[in-house]
Amino acid sequence: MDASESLFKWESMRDVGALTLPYEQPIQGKVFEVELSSGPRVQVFRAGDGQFYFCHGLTFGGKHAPGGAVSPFSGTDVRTILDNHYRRLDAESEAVVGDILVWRGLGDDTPHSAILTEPVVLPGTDYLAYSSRVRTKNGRLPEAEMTLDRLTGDEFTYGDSFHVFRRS
Amino acid sequence: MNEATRTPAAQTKPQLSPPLACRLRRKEVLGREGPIPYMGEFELENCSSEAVEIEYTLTPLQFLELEVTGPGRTTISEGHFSDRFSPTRETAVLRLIPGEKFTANVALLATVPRAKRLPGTYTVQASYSFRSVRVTAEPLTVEVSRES
Repeated sequence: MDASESLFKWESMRDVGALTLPYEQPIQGKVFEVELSSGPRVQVFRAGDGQFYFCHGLTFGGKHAPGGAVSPFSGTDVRTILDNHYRRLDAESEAVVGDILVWRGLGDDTPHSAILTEPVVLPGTDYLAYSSRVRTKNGRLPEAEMTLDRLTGDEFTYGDSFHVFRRS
Repeated sequence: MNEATRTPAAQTKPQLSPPLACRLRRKEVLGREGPIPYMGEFELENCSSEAVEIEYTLTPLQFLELEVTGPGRTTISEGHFSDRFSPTRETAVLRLIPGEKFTANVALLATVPRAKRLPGTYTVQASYSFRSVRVTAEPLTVEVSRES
């Protein structure tokens, strides 16, 4: 599978309804249902300006959607994408550029995801080191490249509870 | 957010106002490369005699604010704590019975960009706003000994 190939059948997008994201500065937009290239349908958010997206929009390519960026919702929708288009790596040390990191939250929540741009393995372990670099869009904050320690540690607090996935 | 936990109620307390109380304290949190600096634990307690249900689509910490005052005694924190999270489609509910506590690890300087973190003493004021009720925790001081 070509990793640049879209996961989504954009022509299948269907308007579900309006939604306002409850950030400090609320973001108004719409929910759409879209079919994955593998068949299942997921729901995504598109802001009214067509520009805004959150982490899963970056990670899964929704930011490039025709007609404006979209972002799959955390939780069920992200898990549906993972189940149908990705495989979880047994060891983080196998990670390569372009693999993705998905954090686990309460229940089935997936509060964050990012794209690995520079994997560094912690010596003597199967784990990625905090000096590894990722491309990330943290909520409504600007997209940026940063070291993993900023996401797991004292700045963004997503923690160490992530898994590495590769497009299958 | 990570390692969020809930503590059962020790006993039912008499009706108080406001119904929620919050606390912020230091906590040593170990990451895969050792202790993570400037970490703390946020605690939210239902002090009322009735269950409280907090609906959220970002995180139970969606209504948490961390205001940080820097060495120059000016507020240097930026944005809202929950702005870093991505929403779920379904609304989730944090239900706290009387006396029950919810705790979660938080980065005490989460709302302070690293570029602004100079050595000195910082004061972190946590507050939690829900349904027009805003409760505040005792301020917590954090010593930054190096640029981080």
